[in-house]
Amino acid sequence: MQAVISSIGFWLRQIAKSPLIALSFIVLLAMVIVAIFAPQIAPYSPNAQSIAFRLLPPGSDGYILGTDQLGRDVLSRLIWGARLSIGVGFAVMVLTAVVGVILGIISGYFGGIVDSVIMRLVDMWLAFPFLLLAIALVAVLGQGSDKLIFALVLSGWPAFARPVRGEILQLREREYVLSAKVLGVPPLSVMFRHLLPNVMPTILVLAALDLGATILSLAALAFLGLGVDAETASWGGMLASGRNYVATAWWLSTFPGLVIFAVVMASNLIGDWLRDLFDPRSPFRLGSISAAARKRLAEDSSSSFPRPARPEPGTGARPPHDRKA
Amino acid sequence: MSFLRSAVKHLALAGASLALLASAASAQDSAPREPKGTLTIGWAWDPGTMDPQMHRARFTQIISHAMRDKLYYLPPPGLGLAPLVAEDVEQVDDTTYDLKLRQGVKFHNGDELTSEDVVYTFERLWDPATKSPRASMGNMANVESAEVVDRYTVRFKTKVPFGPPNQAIPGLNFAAQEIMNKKVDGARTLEETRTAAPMGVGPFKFVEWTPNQRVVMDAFLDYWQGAPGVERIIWRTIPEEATRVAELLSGSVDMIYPVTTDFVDQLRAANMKLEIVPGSSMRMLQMNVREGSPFADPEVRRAMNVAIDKDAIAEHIYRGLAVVARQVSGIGQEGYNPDYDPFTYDPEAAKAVLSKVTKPIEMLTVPMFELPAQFIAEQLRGYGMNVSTKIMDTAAFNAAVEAGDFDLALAFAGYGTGEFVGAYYNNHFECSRLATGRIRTGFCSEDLDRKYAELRRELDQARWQEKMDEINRELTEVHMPWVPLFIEAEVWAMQPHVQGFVGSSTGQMFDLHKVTLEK
Amino acid sequence: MTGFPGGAAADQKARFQESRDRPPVRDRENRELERSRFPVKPERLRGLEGNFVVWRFIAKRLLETAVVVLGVSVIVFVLLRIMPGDPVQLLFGEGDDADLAASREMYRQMLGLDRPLPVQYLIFLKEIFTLHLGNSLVRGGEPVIQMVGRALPLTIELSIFALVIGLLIAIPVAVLCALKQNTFWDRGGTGFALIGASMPNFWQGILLIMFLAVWMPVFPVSGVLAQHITIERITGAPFTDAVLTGNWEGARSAFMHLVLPATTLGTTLSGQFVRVLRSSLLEVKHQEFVHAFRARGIGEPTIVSHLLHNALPTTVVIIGMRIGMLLSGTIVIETLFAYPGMGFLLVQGINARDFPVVQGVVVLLTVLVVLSNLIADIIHAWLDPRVKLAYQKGK
Repeated sequence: MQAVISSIGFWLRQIAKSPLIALSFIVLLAMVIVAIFAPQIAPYSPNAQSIAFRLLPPGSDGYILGTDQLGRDVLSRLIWGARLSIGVGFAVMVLTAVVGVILGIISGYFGGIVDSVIMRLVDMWLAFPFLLLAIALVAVLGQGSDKLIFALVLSGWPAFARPVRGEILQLREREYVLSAKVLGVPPLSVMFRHLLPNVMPTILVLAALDLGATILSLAALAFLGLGVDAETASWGGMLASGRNYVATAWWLSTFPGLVIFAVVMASNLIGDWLRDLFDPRSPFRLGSISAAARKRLAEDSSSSFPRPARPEPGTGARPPHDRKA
Repeated sequence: MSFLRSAVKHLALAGASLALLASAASAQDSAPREPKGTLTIGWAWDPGTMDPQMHRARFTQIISHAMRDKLYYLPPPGLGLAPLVAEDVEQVDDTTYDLKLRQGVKFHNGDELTSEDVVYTFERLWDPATKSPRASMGNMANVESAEVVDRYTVRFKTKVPFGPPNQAIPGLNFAAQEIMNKKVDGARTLEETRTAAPMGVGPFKFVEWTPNQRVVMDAFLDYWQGAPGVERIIWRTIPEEATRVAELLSGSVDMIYPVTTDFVDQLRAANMKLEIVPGSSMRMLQMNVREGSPFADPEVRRAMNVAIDKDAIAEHIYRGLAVVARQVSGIGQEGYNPDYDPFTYDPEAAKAVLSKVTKPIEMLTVPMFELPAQFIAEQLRGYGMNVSTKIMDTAAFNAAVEAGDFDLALAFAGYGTGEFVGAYYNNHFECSRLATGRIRTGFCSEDLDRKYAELRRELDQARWQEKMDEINRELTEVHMPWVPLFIEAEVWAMQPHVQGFVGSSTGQMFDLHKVTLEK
Repeated sequence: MTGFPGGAAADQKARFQESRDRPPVRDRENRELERSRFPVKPERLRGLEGNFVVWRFIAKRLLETAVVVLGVSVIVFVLLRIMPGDPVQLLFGEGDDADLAASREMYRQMLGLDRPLPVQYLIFLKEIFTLHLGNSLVRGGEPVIQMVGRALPLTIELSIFALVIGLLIAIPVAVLCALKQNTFWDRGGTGFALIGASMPNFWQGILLIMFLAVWMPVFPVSGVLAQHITIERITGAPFTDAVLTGNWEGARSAFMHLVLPATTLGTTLSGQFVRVLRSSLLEVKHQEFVHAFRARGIGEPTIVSHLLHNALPTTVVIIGMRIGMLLSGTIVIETLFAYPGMGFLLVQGINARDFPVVQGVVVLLTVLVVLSNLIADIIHAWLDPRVKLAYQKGK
């Protein structure tokens, strides 16, 4: 299975099967390209103001998507906004995954007191209103995308830690892990060379969902008046400052709103699609399944035990979505 | 009184509808005896408490004032003091003032207002057991006592001389206290007063308060200025402005406050009536003049004063709902001189100096000023400065500027009383406040303090004016701790059938009893 | 994939590979895990022994709750104290006191804000345990317990409406997705249910207000009740109270006011509900009884209802897990819709740096989240047909 997952051809074939998923990938890819080449693509500097030309509607001479309250080009700001939103989104995604997965693996592998401490921390974090945590952290640390990333990672790690820990709890009793231990393979090696590849599918699913969640969090923070410094164009900031113009200058909120919607939707669809591919309980994982496996699954779920507590993403823990507020 | 006239002239130029003031005054004579209809006001706040002495919030005072009249109220700066339940004041000696109350003023329960109630109000305020945050507002700490002389006369004694009554009363803050009822409030505990029905002599009687939702009050038919024009007022708490505007447009509220320029076009297009009053809060760039800041150099501060296109801010960002400020004294404030305009916008001159400022500069501000701040920052970047804007919530902003932990701050200073002498100078320029963190810019001048002390002692009106003028000029073009920017208007929006509402520059809602609904 | 280190023999390697690809085995650890999720082994549900296990489980969970609440109290206390901004400074504002610094200092002493932080924290702890929660610093000293007493029923009612709306959208969509699995309908249905979850909450709320309350005035813009209506207070939740007192006009008004905020919140949830419900449905769909039903020619609606009956327990657990998210979703929505619940209080409290209010709201929300997870577990045990089956067999 690992070998299959790492083959590019396999992925392309899977993506090609669903037009919606293909579209989602295209949206994300396009956003990444826009973010990287923002200086080359954007017709104006994101902060170039011409106050006399404020609030021009889309299609006005030279301003394809119109201008905002200070006469800045909406299109250029959207393009530069991709830099911040996508950049912070991916950075938070990767860092949250790293922190969450490390804590999850440690917690699951060692168990005992380490596990108890980390899991109670997770409980506290999950019960704590995310926005309050982010507001407080931004207020304490100050503005700027680096601080924002820090605040979002600090408040988001349990979304990875808990499901990963759940999987590790099961995996660590598996034969090959036990044998590796018996053979004297050092714990770090067991954790990261043997256990990690096996929780990769869960991590990928969570990561895909996390991207969307982060972008929504950025927007919620902007609504509450927090976020990056005012000069840095961000989708959330544009949407928040355009919300008072829904009736008089619809283009201020509609375009950033649509872009956010597209990216978050793409991230959600890809996450769901990945889950379908990987979920061992789904008889359709990787598109095919043997009759024996189907039978085994049927036996599994009709056994006299309650549902297995296998923390498939979405049951065992709050997925990153919970951050939307 | 040429100062007053010029202030009035300026107010009118600024878009003030002084005609409305006049018409409102005459409306009183023809006010209908029969209150009609319900006036629903959508505004951003909840009063928090019904105890008039346990808060310092303007919005709590507005609610309270609709039910409890004061001795005086303060109209826009420059227009003097307006007596309310106080009829007259007489200065007995340097430190003694006798206030005459109107006769026949009724509380909501039918009791007549007497000097006992006034004395009770102030004694409750000053009683350490009350622990009122208002107890030392203004110069109240310098008031010795309040005593009953006769049924309608109250004698106030002060510890130090405060000059003629028209100067003494605003500074001593007698104007800001709503009169309570000795019999009713005296029998309540502090905790009870917080939620109990206010018993005042105001135009409206308390009906109901659902915290964070609504306050309901009914017309008081025996109000001493005549029965109010509306039968009932409902104040609804709606913190988000977009929601407030939607409520007004959908017709479920009759009036909203506050309104920012974001919505003015939309409201005008929907034929809503706007009440626009010139504000009394100076918006300025405060420059940190402490050692190590580029603004420690007066030449840089001078360049800053000619670097910003204030007219563009007023015209484009505020759509004419702000007036450009050109001196440290605000429009209508003491010391304001309409002919005084020392700096002209001069990008060339600014660039010559500012291009040499290389240190990265953060300009702090609050969300309310995000647009002007970004406009200013972009202009300064145009001169080669490295400026970024940092938007903070009010609490964090205040903490940062009080600590002097900034280079530039787009801040504000209110002058609702119209005074320059007193809080305005104390809070922003007086050296003795440098230690307590009150002088945000870090600027102070012993020489100026001396002149200020002389000004306070000056009794001759003409010479006082001269000295005041000198202080204003020195601050504006010699010391230059600020770049005065603009003064924003206060805006209310209402349905066309709301008649007779008069706004005030401090956002107060006086004379709500004169409002009528004509559908 | 990574190679197997440590000089393992090739055949061993192959065996590991094989075992890795097998579905998870139910080992001891796994059962342990199940026990903490649902601790009552069905056959133990009989008699005193069963009761003992149930109570021990509940006691253990309550102890864990206490640990979590304690931790959260520390986090919120520390966060508020290191956040820049001072409540007294905000309260006094520009101020025209002759000596503002002295006035402030006096007031700070009065509020106890001058005391050492550890002392302040201990006072806060004492307030949690006496369920008093302190007094607001800015609202004339209003007891926080009164404020949350007003706000909590509102938030709970709003959350329940949001859950109902979320399920109303999710159930049909999930059934469609499950029946037409791996078709365009499947992905399209999931996508439809995700629309709400993919839009920033406040934007969706503003659009709903503009379209359904201003341009096409079907619903009221904001608030809790029409202004002329008063409802007798029983629970504090307006719709519930109106129904309980038979005040139908009030019930209608409360209902209409709930629709827009609950829709904004509910559509955010529906995407996740579909996700969970769909995968439970798919799992049940391939069980033998379904094939048996089909073989016997039982109609599709009956099958769907059986499917749902079997898939719902998991969904209930998920909803229990989502309560925390629902509650924090109210922060933005309640402010936008002028709906004074817990989120509204929290925003108000943060803006004014009203420490006791923020502390009280956060601690209470934490307790609520942890308890709702516990209740979800118990309900799960109660609803799950397999648990019931085993119980009956045991008898």
